[in-house]
Amino acid sequence: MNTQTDIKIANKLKSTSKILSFFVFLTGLAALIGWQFNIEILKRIYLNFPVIAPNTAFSFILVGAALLFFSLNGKAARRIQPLFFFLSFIVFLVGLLTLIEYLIGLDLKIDKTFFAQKMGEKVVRMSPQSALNFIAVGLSLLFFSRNTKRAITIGQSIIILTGFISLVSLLGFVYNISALYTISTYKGMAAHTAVSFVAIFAGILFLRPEAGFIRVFCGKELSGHVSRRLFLILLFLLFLEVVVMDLQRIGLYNSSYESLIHLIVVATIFAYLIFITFRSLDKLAEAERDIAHAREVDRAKTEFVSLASHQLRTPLTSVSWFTEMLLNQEVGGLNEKQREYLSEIYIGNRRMIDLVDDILNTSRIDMGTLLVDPKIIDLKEIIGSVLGELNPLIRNKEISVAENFENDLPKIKADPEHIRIVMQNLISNALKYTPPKGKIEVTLVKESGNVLIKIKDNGYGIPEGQQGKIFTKMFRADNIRTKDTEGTGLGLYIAKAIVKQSGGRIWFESDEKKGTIFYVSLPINKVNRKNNKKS
Amino acid sequence: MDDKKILIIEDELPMLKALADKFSREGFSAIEARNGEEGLRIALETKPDLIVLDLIMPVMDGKAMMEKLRQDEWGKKVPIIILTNLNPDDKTLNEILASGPANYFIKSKWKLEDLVGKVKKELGAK
Repeated sequence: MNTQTDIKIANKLKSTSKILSFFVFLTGLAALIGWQFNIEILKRIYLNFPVIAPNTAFSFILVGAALLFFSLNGKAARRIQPLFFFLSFIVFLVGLLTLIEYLIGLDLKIDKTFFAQKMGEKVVRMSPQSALNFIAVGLSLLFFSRNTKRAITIGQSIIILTGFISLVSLLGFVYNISALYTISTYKGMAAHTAVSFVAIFAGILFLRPEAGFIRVFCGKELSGHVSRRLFLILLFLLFLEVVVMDLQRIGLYNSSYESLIHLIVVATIFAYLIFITFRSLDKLAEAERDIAHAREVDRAKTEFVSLASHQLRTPLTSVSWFTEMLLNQEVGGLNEKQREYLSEIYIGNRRMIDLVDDILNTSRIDMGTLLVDPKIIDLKEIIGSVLGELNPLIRNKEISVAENFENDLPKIKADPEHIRIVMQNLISNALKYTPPKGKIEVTLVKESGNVLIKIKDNGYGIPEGQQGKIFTKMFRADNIRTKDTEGTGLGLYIAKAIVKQSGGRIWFESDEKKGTIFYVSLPINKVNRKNNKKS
Repeated sequence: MDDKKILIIEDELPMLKALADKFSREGFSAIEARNGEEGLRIALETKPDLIVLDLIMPVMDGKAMMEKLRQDEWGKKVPIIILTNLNPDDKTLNEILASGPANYFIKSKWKLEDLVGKVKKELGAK
């Protein structure tokens, strides 16, 4: 799941968590006041409900404080971190020691830490459920203090135990079933204890709503929206069921009516669920249709570009051929200016042809129609021929070209046309982006199962901030835009796609003003025969 | 190269003109045809020494023309240079290359000089 978090909802939940923490803190405080001043209602809420244990009240204060500390941000949070850890640990320890007392029947004297005189002979120990709850709460908070995604997920999972225990107890109070809040002969959980634990449960879950599994409910997308809606329905259903039962209890209708009303409630909610499911799936289908449509449009555009470029080739070739014949003075002599102008026409025309080739190759890569026809090829030969083709440029810029070809270099299996395009792009880049009288070096070496091609120049280099983008379609680095206006920004995109399809790797090292080294590693025997169909 | 006949089958007029002019100046006798059907008829009538054949053409394309030509006793042996703007990895082109020996030549990538060189080499080797 990689849904984006809806910050507004996450913040709302965080605020709720703060309020709940404060409530827990106050409950603990009120209970302690109740003990201090013998105010029965603060100790047990209702006459025959169990009394809250002083240790429970004390622990609530700690938990409430810990939760409030956790919601602090920045520097304060870091300073308070050890305190948070300490409070969580104390809570965990109180729960653990109390549970040990129950399990092995030993009095560790911890129950009389507070208000020993007020208790008199009778020890008021927190209920076993509360002890278990505090263990879970302490443990959960300890995980939260680690503050990693994983730890928070574990912390949230642990607190579900507390939620379950306290909700069951709470139902016991609502329906007057003491078995739900009292285990055998032990002291039961106090009503406000159960409420506070529910508050802690929610408070901890909402502590970090953007992490753990709670983030499901904070999702910005459809999934988040639906989860929230379903959760609210769940709460509403529980509420309705309780109301229906309660109204029957006070005698508004008899139990057969009650069943009928239950049925109506459940059926209505189910109908609503069907509606929600339908709407969500419908929205999803709509989104899918939109994506499919966008892809279709994209493909149509690429196809159009491909077709148009193809059509351009014919007139461009005619211009090239006629200019060639004129330049060769096949139909009469030329004066100096005529020659110069025709050369410009010829060069411009060649550039257009190259551009059309680049566009065609790019569209074939994008459409996945670039087919591979692997043959046994000799890289030395290909590089030699590319260098020969670029010779006018090399001589014009007086660039020295060094060839370091390892002896006994194995031939490789790859598509000769494609590898030629890669070499052509990389070497002409090296030439273009190196100032006159510069130096380029082409190296071929064998490396375990691969042939490594290294093309090094001492040219302008690629600015550090733009190095991540150079293989992107149509990208051109700032420092060369002004020096060379010819480039299309397609060459490296094409080179990378071809190398990748050939089962190889392409990368580079570059230092602005010192130069660039491009590396291409091609497998000697492995060729990825599949088309690079876009999935 | 005198008296060597070259049949140029190409539907694009400027290209046909460029090719015919060039080959004539190089001393060949250049015969022109505008599509595969016309090309096939002229080829069987005049029996040229070499055929320069475009692929994508109206009426009858280069592929169909070549298939028909190869059924003829004389047509089986005549050297053909395919002239195309299709990419070397194009399916049609590869099918043709697989069906019989023929040189091919990507129009936009080469100079006319190179084509002439290729033709001369082909005819000289005979």
